[in-house]
Amino acid sequence: MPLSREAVERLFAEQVGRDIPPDVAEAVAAVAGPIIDGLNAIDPEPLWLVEPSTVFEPRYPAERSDEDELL
Amino acid sequence: MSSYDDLPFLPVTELAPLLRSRQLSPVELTRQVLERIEAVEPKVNAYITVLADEAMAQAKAAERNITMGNYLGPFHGIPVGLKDLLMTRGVRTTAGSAALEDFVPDEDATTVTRLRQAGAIFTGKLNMHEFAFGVTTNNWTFGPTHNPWMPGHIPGGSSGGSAAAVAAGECIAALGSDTGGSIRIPAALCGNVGLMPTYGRVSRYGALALSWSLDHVGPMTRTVSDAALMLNVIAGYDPMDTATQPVPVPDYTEEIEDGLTGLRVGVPRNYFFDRIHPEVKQGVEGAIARLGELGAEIVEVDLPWIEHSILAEFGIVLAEATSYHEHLLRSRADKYAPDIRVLLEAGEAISGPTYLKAQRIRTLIKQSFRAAMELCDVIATPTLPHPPVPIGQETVTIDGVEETTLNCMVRYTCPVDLSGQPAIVVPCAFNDQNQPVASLQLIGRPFDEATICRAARAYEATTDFATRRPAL
Repeated sequence: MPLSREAVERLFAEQVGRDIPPDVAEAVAAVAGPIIDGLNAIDPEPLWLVEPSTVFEPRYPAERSDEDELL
Repeated sequence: MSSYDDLPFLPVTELAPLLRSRQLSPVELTRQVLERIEAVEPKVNAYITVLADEAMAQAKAAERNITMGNYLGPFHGIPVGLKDLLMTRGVRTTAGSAALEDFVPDEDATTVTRLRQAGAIFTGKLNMHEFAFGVTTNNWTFGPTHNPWMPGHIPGGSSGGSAAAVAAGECIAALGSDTGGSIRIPAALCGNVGLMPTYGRVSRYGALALSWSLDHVGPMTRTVSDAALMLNVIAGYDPMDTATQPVPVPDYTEEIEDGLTGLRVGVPRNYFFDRIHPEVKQGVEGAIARLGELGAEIVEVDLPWIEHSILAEFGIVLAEATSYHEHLLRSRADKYAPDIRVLLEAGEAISGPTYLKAQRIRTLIKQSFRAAMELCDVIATPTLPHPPVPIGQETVTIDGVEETTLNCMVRYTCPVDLSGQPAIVVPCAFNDQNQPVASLQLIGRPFDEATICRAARAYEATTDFATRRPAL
């Protein structure tokens, strides 16, 4: 079900702990709703065993293939 | 010495030898840049705060030091602008928001400290999209910045003031920051060079955050070599930023003229050429063909999962930005621009599992890039799907599909913020009205900024774009 203004108002009242003006709640629903729906629609099966990336862990030195050594 | 009109448009690579040899005084250079600011600011509005007196004092100190033989390097005596989210000791730092209109930090951002130690002269604090959360620099509190090449159009964002100031000759180089494309988008729309370093290559300490796991600070310049010189100054481990890596910093100019022979340039088969303006497509395809003519081997690559980049980007940014702004939203919500407040409140609706799903998708996008870079040294893409749009235009339509200007402008840049790899952008097409319409993005391996600078420089050397000026 798409995120509604009422759901945003309820979220702020019950979980965030402050009120949100109705027009802001309406706009929040319009911004966040499609992102939440879009992420929910992505099949979770390929994500099994994939850990979240909370920081970038670059390898150093820069990764190069064996062929690079021949250049 | 160059004529009066030339100096604010010369690159660091030309100015530095003149300053070092005392053929040019930093005082004269700074005076001319400040006069240029005074002359064009009514049309451009690139600055939030101009530091005229402070810059002249710094210039006089630089002149004294150079005269005494204490030359500090290529940025000694160079006028530099700073995006107004970089903390500056004793100078108001607003992040483009009335919510911080009275914030005067008592210390510098690490990048500012490093430039200060290198002898740079700070011309002022540059306009930006409020709290870096947007791509237009149509700022609610400080007014819109105009694209110097086509006033009335956006310069891009969020580092729009930085790009506009460089293009308009209001500073020689600038610092910007990039979370979804905020260095590369404005650099592309203003016909400049923008370099987003590897995540962890340049300290974020003292850069007011949008999204901790995605924020990067980097150079915005007229030429590729200037970007490399600036990276030489600002790169390196910083104990104040836990993301920075204790790895050596090479001289990014050392191999910059080595050309493309032997380099493999990957061109993605998917995503990056979908829904693209025909002028942009033509310009970028021409640039990639040029890379081949210059000796690069062009190879095709696939980037699975990249089509989910925008969802992953916004799932992460909304949640992190809302967390960052929690205290200000409780005390100063009415000071935010209405659209920015909505974006920051929206993060409250992103649940923990939803945020982590976005981060897990990010992991797969990083793996895609890693696999692609087994086949090539550099990935070449368009920077943007569309040329600059008029200020206030909220949507863009390409191939009959309408999307928000924000989504359109970050489509090709935000995947690289997610992967954390370095990327540089260079202009690759101007239209017959002498306006920049297309930009080439070159993406490298982690910590291999030297190779993307080398490739970008080889391409840049075949064009005259870096010498063009807007008709302000």
